Amino acid sequence: MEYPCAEKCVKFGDLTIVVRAQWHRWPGSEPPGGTTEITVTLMRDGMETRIVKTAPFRKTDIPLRCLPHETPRYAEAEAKRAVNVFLRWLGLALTDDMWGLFMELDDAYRFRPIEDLRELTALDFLSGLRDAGRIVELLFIAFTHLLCATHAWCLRNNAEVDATAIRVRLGEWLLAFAEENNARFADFTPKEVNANA
Amino acid sequence: MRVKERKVVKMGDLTLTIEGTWMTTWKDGMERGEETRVRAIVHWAGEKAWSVSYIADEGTLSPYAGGELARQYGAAMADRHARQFLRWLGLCFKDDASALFNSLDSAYLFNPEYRQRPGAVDTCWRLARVGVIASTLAITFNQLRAAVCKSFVFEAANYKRYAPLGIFAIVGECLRNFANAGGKELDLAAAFVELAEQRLKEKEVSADGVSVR
Repeated sequence: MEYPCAEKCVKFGDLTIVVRAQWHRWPGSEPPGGTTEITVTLMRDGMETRIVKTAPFRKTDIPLRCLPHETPRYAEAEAKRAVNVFLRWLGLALTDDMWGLFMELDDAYRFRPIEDLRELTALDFLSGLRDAGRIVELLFIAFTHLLCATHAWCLRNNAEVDATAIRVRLGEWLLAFAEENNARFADFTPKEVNANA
Repeated sequence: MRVKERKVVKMGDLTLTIEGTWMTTWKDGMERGEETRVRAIVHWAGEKAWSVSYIADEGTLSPYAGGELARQYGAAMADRHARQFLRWLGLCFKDDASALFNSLDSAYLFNPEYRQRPGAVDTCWRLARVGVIASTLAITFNQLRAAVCKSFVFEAANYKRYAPLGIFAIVGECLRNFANAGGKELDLAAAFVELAEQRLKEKEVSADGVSVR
């Protein structure tokens, strides 16, 4: 059975990024469980080719911890959460808050051994780091394309603005967009070029 | 140019080959960069071999790479990364996640803690890369651990003899010693018995109250 997916779309300049998540149940697994997967699609205006990358976000049985008819609703909530978390991480990367991003990744994937607090086995550590690496690869691709898009926008508009400032502002917008539950699309292309920005 | 260095670890039915490959990369008809790849080839007796790999290092062409020392330089790079992988595998067996974390971090600098203004592109790229290494390590570690568990070491009498020493820790130490010695082939079973017996002897001596050294 296909469970509902969630997606959010971000546009900056000629770049459109679609972040989509879906929870999949493992067929015939005992105990029952599933995986939430994230797919990032990058599109450029006027180009037919697109980049599509997928990575597992997390393994969870949360959508199954309810009455069977409620599972699709829970699965959708899980997918929405994954999309929002991914956008938040993208926002943190754009605002250069690397320590914040690292800590949130560590919180999600638990790959940092902490003496007396989190004693990990080698295999737990490796699998956590592997999962974090997979999702960071998606982040890296989305992030670098957004970075190129900000520079391309500055060049195209002959804007006397600092590309870094635009990137940081884009990151802040993304952080806010990740908090909005009902919004599905946001165009972050600056509408006016402020020479003093 | 392409140079390969191989390290073979044999344990029971499993032959694990760690292959470091250094190669130059081409762009627009010119030799512009270099890349070192580490591949772990898993071969169980009677089954088809399969492998997992990762890119250990890549960048612009080193001055050594273009000259007559290229082959030596490439062999050294391939050997270095293959040995590093064996050391990490040894740390997995020792179940020392902290040491593994620190060693991976000092090789790939993926932890932004204590670093001044780490860039997002840099940190994300390093984390993504180290994730692939972790995946390769986890797969290889599981295969070799399965081979150890299926071997004579886990037969009742041997298990009883060696378990108090920490079987996997001894395996880890054998792998580390092999990596440090720079040999080409390791009979893990023989190395295990040798090291375990040496440890038992030391234990007996110290139990008698006589100083080991």
